[in-house]
Amino acid sequence: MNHYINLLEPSECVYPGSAAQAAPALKLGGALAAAALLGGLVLYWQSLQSTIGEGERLQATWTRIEEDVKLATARAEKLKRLEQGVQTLEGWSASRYDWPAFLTYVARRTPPPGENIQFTRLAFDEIMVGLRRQKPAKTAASFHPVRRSVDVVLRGLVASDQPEVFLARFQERLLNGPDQPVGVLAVNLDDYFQLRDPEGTLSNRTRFTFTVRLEERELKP
Amino acid sequence: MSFADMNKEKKQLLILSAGGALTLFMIVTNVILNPAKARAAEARETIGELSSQVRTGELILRKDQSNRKVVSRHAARILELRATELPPENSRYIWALRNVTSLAREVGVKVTVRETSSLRYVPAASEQGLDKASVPMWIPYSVEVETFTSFENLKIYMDRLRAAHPYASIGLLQITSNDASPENHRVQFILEWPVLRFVEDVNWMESVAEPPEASS
Repeated sequence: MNHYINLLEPSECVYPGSAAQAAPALKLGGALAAAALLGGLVLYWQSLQSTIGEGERLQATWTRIEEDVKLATARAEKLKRLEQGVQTLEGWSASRYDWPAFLTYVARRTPPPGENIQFTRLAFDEIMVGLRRQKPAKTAASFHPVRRSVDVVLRGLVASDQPEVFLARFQERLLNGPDQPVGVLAVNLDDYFQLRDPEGTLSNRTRFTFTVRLEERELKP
Repeated sequence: MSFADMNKEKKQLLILSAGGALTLFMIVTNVILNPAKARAAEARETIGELSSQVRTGELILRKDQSNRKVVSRHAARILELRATELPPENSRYIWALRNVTSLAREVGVKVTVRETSSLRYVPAASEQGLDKASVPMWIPYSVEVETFTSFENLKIYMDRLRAAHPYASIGLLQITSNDASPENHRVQFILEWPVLRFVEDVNWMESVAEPPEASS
């Protein structure tokens, strides 16, 4: 029986054929790869935790403010409606047409001689666009600002041998008068009818109807 | 040294090491990483949904501080005008009748005043599910005034109405000549004031309106 006594220090031991003996760089590489893998995993884990933390933080913030935001949003919507309401109310007064001044204007703009003309009817029915015909509905609608819109119907009789000339002058004077209390946008002759005498012959009296369109006014202060 | 050159112990050690590493990797992956990945995916979704929502929400909350003051101021303004210039909720007709008639008397014009027979706005068919933002806050309260007067008197009367009632506007006017009395005309006009469409608005405004400043 043979006995072998190893008298070498552990550091002097050599293991032929082992990985460390054959390729020490491989061992180091393996250790580095393992460390890199571990480090990568730790970094990845930290990045996941950071994302989770950010999500939880956002969720917590939203949970905390959600009710307040809902109330604030409702208040903002009410404010918008309220602001429009205040504008409409203050505009109600500011946008009024000055009718006495307009009646004076119509009387002044009749071409001379004034006694040739007789008004038989003056009428209008103002439309508040966005208010009078606005239907209550289940969804919000856009109607602001409300606007006043008026067509004045002016009917009368004119005594003239050349009524068309007279009325054309009247139309022109109404449309382009320098002292308009409210802008006159258009004056249209809607009715023109020469009346007959009791004997059936054409008289010099002519019935006419003008429609006078006035500029719209917004109900805003 | 190839795997075949290894002795049995080394082979076992190598296989055990590889198996252990694989097991450890599987445990780390399945027990720690995968649940964390799933939670992170959920978190990313949450972040996508909430980040702009939270940012907007925080802006809304900051803006709300000033909104409260503006709401309060506007509500107070409306309530003040409603109390002083507009027909009162429960006695509109008598209020209008008194004001319109007394002014007519001052200028020597006789008038008849009645509430308009038809509404000059579209009423809500049902308030169920109604969005108040679909219509203006105001509707017209209208009275019909009828008189028989001269052109000049009419202008004076309308001037007085305009000055005395800044929120009254003439919504309809008909002046018709009268052959029997050429100086006087038959005049009908509709006078209208804005009134709040929804009574709940009054209650709400009263609850948010800033109190009037105490006189010093």
